[in-house]
Amino acid sequence: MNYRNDLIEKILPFWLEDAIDKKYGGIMTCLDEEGNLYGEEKSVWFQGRALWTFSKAYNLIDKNPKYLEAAKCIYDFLPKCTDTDGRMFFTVTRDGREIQKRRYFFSECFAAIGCAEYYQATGDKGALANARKYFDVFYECCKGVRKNTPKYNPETVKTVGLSPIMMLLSTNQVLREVDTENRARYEKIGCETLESFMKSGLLTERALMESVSTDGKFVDTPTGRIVNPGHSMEMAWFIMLEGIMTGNKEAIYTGKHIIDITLPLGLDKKYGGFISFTDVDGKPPVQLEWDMKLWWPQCEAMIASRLAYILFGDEKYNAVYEELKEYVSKYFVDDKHGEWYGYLHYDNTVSNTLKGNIFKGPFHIPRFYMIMAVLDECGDIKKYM
Amino acid sequence: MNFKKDLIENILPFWLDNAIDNEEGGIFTCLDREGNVYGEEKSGWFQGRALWTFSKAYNLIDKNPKYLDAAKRIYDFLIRTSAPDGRMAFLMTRNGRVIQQRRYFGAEKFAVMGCAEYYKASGDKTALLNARKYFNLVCDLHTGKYPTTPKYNPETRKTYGLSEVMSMLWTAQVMRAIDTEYSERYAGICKACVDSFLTSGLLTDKALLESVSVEGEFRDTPDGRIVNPGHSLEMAWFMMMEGALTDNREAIEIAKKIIDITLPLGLDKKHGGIIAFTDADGKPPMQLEWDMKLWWPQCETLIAMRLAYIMFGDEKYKKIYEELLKYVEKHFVDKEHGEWYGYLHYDNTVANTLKGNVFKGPFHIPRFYMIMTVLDECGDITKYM
Repeated sequence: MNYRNDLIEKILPFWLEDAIDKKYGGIMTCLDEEGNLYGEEKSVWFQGRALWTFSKAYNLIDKNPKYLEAAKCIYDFLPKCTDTDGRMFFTVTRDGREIQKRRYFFSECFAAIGCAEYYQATGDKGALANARKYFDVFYECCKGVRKNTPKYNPETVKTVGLSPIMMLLSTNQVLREVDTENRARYEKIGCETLESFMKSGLLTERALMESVSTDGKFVDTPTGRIVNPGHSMEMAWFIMLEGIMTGNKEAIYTGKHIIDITLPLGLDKKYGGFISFTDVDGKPPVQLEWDMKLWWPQCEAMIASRLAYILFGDEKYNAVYEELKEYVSKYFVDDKHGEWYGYLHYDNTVSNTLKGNIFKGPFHIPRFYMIMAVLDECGDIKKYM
Repeated sequence: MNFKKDLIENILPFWLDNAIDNEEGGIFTCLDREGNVYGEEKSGWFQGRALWTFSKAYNLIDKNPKYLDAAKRIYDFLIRTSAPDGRMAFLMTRNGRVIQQRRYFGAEKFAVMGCAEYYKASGDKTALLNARKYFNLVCDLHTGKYPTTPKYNPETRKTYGLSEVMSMLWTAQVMRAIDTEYSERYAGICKACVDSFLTSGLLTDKALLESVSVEGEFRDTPDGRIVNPGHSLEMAWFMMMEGALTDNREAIEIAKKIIDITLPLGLDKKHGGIIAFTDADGKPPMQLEWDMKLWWPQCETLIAMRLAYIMFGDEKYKKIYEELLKYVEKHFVDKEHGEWYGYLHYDNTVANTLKGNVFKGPFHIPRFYMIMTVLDECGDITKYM
């Protein structure tokens, strides 16, 4: 794959042409195989994510004014996705009225990185102020300063999840680079987050778990045994990147450990590719889609493997990367209509021809191509930040 | 298949031997292929459902004291773990403490039919009082007299769902048959459900939709276009049964229409079986598992086909019934360890070897075998009530 070319010619145009809403602003992600809109409801996750993607592509890859125009169109729509309490919705109507507001706070962290990168692209101070605002809301939710109605009864379920820690680590990495005035604050948060991860008990000898009890113990229930190998690989490269950016060798080796225990759990030896979920003890997985191949775990597994090869020089990581690259070119990339399929059956036949929905849009795939483009050019992930 | 024999010797013993909790009461449903418990959390839905199943099997099929014993253990647990106002958890710890409380009230509806059928089996008057208590609660939740937080903003998404009217109908059907003192009240509710369904707009010329706007309009959004063919065919046999019980010809004719528009949407012409979901306009379906074969849609389709053949005499229904029965025997029935698999891939290979989880347990399958037993014996569905 020629990552830079493919990104500029196939991936980004697919979304630029069909997804940007010129009427109401923002982006629509429900696109079918050919790029036709099949649903107008807007994913709030994707307002922040796509804002980040187009701004980042502008900053890192190509000063194409079209990227900036798209970014502005999405940036201007963000206030409609934000409730009076500063929290964001999960889905809104095409014209920006709330459909669903959820307890989860990922909309806010994606808005934070989107605004930060947009500030970097435009120098618009208002965007930096918004990045800080969304980051603070997200951070307060992470720390429990802002209370949410819990999904599970806190008296019977006392767990910590991988997702908030991981998203805080990654969001903070972006803000630390962009909001230089407050760098010390983000450095402190980065250290704390890494420390809380290391102490959490999520990382065991067998797997990186999706959740553990608040006192760091394995929860031997169907949900407690869940492993999401793509998620684990994403955390592996987040933490290696953190190690590189902050000169923390322990973090880099932790990333290696995560990769080493995750590969046997995630790689499908028979059909190739990374599966979606597994049970750490080999008991029946909770998720119906456990053995389906989704687009994003392939992206995360390739980033982690390639980075591990650069850092440790072990050929086994290179082999995983090369095999996955071939696998993805064969089964995920849609040569005819552009972009990637999102959902393959266990045997790699296409299960759903959609190119986008409220979870799939311009994020994991362009991020993967951007990182690969940087590594192709200089082999130094720092240049990606 | 010898339905009665298989029910008594294979299906019910699988759960009786492995799932009843002799220490804490109630029933586990997370059983693996061989019947081992792989999760001790208890499903709120399945306390009422299993109570109904064992009581019904006792009343209808075989006065086996084991069925009544199991029912009593579940009944005691269900009553003990309900909140004082009757509300039930969606998921509980083994000893009945709340893990997850949802806004939906499926557990309470299943408790109505479970308690009613248990009253019939045991003659225990308090079980009847409890059935009435849950029924009144369900009515209050249904009308909104007992308020719940809406999932979606009612200003942007206010829908009329098939599930609500369907479950209200069968809850009232069960009470009408058992709580004879108030059968007129229940008959009135059944009639109101049928009338409300007929004027709802859910049944279009294309499909029986899962939801429409409260004004009865088709919603051209990914979720508005959802069709769940197994659910549609379940509704079809509910309507045929209601028509047979109340001598309502219109209900029976509507059922025929549901069947005739649903079959082309649900039947997998290439691999056989009924798929899980589809989009009414052939656009990308929302659910990842859309083309998987789940156990219960096969059950509901078989019931609808056999009833349709009895009522309308058209050979095409018989043919589908026989083909599907062969399909189920070949792919779903586990000849080695008993019961059925629950989740097959699109190509009928087994996706997950589990026999139970919070959604699969002793309900659709034994209900199907019981109805088939009645039809084998006398061909009259009203005898099943």
